[in-house]
Amino acid sequence: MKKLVCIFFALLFTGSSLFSQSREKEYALKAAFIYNFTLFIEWNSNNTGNEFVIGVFGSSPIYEPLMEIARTKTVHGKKIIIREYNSLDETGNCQILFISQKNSYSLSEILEKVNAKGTLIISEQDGYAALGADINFVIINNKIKFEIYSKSINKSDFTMSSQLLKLALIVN
Amino acid sequence: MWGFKNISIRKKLIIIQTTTAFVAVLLCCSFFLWNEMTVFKNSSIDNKYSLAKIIGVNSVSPLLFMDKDAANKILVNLNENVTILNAAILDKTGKEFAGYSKKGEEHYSFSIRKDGDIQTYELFDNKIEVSYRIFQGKEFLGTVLLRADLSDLDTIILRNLKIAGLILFISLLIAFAISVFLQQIIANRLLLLVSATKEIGESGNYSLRAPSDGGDEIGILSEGFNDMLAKIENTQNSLKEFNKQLEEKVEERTADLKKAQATLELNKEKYRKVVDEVGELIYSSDYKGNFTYINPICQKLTGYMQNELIGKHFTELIDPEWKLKVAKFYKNQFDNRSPETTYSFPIITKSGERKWVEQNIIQNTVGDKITGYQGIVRDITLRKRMEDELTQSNERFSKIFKSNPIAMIQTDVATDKVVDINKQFIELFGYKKEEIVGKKTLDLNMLDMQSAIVADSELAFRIKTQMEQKGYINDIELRARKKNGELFWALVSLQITMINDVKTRITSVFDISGRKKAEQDLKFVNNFLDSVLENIPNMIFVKDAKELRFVRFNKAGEKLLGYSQKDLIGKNDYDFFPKEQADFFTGKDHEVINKGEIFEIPEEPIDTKTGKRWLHTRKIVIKDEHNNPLYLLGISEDITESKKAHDIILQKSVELENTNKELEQFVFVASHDLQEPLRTISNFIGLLGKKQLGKTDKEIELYFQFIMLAGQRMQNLIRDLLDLSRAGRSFLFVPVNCEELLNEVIAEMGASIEESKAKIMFTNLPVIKGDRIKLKQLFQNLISNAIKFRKKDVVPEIHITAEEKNNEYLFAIQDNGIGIEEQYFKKLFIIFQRLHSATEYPGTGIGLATCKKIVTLHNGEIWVESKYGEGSTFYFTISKKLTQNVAVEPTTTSLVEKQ
Repeated sequence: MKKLVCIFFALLFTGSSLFSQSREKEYALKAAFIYNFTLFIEWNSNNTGNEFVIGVFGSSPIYEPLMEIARTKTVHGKKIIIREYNSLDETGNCQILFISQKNSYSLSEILEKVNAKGTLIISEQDGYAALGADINFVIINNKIKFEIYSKSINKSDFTMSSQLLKLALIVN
Repeated sequence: MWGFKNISIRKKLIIIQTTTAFVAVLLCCSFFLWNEMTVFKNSSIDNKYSLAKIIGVNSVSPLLFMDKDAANKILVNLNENVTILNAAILDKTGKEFAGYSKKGEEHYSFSIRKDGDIQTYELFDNKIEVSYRIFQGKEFLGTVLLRADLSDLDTIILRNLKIAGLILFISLLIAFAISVFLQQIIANRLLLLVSATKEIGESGNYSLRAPSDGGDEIGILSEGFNDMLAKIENTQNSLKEFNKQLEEKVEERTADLKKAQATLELNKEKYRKVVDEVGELIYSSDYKGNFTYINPICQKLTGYMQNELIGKHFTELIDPEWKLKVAKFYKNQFDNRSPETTYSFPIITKSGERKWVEQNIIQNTVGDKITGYQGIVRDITLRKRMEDELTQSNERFSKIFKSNPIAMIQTDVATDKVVDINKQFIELFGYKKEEIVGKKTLDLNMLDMQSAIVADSELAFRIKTQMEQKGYINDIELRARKKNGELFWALVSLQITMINDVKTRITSVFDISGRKKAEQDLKFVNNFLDSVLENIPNMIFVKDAKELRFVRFNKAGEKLLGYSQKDLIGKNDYDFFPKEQADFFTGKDHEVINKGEIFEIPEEPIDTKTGKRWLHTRKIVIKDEHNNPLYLLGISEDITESKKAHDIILQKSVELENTNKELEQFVFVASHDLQEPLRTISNFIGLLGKKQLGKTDKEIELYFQFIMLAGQRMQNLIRDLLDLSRAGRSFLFVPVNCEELLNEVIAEMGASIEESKAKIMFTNLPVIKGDRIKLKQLFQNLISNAIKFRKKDVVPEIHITAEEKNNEYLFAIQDNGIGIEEQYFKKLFIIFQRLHSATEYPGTGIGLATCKKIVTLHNGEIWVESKYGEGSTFYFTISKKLTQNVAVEPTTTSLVEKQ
């Protein structure tokens, strides 16, 4: 009996660790992608400060890898600051807002609050690109791909490079 | 080559011209061919590299977002370029990210070269590889690699070769035609010149001339040839003239030579005169020794004229005393056929004067036969005298050397060999004279030069230079080695001087090992004292007596004050402490210096870097040999902590004393005040009992009895408590006669003594100083205990004795009662400690506590010795030295014990 319990726990443990490993990998990639986006997107709004703020809305495992990137890299010569927000009112002036799956607001609420600020909205929910998120991560054939909302391409707040667009799935 | 040399100029010219043209055209063609190929190849490579670069730039985003499909799409576009065989994009780890191969080509796996920055690699089979490293900013993302075919280069080369061959052939033909035409102009004229040369060579007629025409090189050659012929003609004529002149010169020289011979004869005469006039006597003699020639110096040296001496034997001039000796010397020379000798001896001059001469003789020999002698004689009288003087001074030196109380050794500087040593040296080093003379000092190894050099590295150099410049050196300290190997410290002096014409080193060695030992001992003592001084936990400081500036500070001092030695040395108190403190310190310093005594400052405050400290300081004056103060030595102990502790204890004991007094007061008041109501209760119970007695039943009577007994017990208890508290209170020390006192006690205890039939015995008890009432109570308690704890059926016997000691009286009260077990000996004197039940032996448990308190009041001690079942002895001491003041203290402490 004891032995069985042991095996059961061992399975549970390894299973969860495997699961979390693949999740870790996924979010490390997503964080790297977010950083890579900044290489192909130019923000037109006057961000005069010397900080580049990436907001994470709702708690997400992406926070850690983003912090790791912020420690070593810069965007357009600006220091990267990672902020975690849990309520809409906190979402201050950030250049990128990553919307975690784990937030308790609807996209329309978020867009209403944030859209006007020249913030690039990145989400990870199937269908969000069609609803108005600028970039949406999707997983196709076990690979992370990203959708770009067609209207976002022509937004005046930022300019997306053709290099980026040619890799994206453009969604109307 | 030889073959070419011999063919005619005509043919040569044709060959030269044709070959030149061929080589020129060949070089031109080759250069253009090579150039075109290089340009083609470079442009082809550049083309490929640009292609790779474009692919690289386009691959940035696919690499970043790991989109292999997009990357492959980019590569697929390469199918428009037929020369590209394979292409690949490798990620930053070198793994293939995307790949492409031309239709019909096999997949090719690229490998990244180590020299990753070089973009092109040529392969053997006309293929090249091009690589482009992809960067995003500074970050390396991956590599684009292309493999291309350059085989269309071959067709271009073939075509160009054909063209070049054609050009070469045509230019060869043209060159041949031109040279055939030109050679005729030159060759004909040259042939004319050749035929003229041949004619002159055969006939020897230099007046012939070659035909000369035209201004070109052949014309100049003909003219030069004609000029040369003219010059040869001229030279022949002048040679004939010169021969004639030479013959005349030879005749002239022969006449000159004859003249010179005549002059030489004249010079020989002149030489003879020179010999006659030199400062040394020069003579020749026949083989017997008779003068055949003598120069005029003989008159100056001997007083005789030349003609007086010629024909005489040279020994006639010699001092008669020396004649035999000299004759023997020269016979020797004659026998040994020595060719040359030098010998000194005295001669007697014509005027009878004795002169020392040195004679140098050379034998003249013909074959084996001696034909005569050549003699040179010089006056050495003066030198001889000087030598004699020198010998005398050497003897004087020798005497001094031998009898010198300092060990001395003479060595020959040139050979380093020992010449002589003196007696003192023999004694000091232990060598015998014969052991050492003639040996090299270096081999004897008597001086440990190393020791001096170790002590002073410059010393060796100094010794050397001084010896070279001045010839002596004094007082170097060295380690010297005796014969038995023992080393000792020596003071060594060296002197170089001439003795008997020999450059001699005189070394004197003075044993200073005693002094050295003393120095080392002193050094040791100093080190020892230094260690003590530095490591003692107390602060030690030294000030100079005049200005009171710090001269020395030990580690403990540095630590205490928080300053380092560097900060302190040379400064005075005012540099570190507030003015008041510095005034106090220096005031004390002056007092100590003026009085010249040890001065003790039990407590002084000092402000240090770490805060205020308290010091216990002792200051001592250190005087010089004239008894003037030189230094002020201070030794300070940091008593801050103990002072703090002492203050706390003092405070606590005052508090304790107050508490004890209050407590005692309380016990006194309580027991005193309790007595009255208790008494009332007992009284009225007794009264009630009396009135009821006989009227009630027996049970109530029993109850009354219990109440009465309890009341009685309580009264006893309160009384004893009162006694106890009184024991420490008001007392008065007066002389007490113990015998009188005991008689009183026995009288007062009459009832119980009578009842128990106890026998109490005492003799010769002293008169002591103490509180009479309390001592009486002490005896009363102890005697009543002895009676109380008697054995049943045994008559109690109590012996009381006293013994006078140095500072106290020792009393003993011995009984034959039930005795006490040893484990209770200490417990006995604690209040309320009872060993028996109240019914068995009634009591309150306060009596012995009171006894202890009384004894303590008299500066004494109380204890018991007993054997269970055999009786007990109670001892107590009463101090002889009692003062009212001292006696107060123990009362309080005794109470503390009981708590």
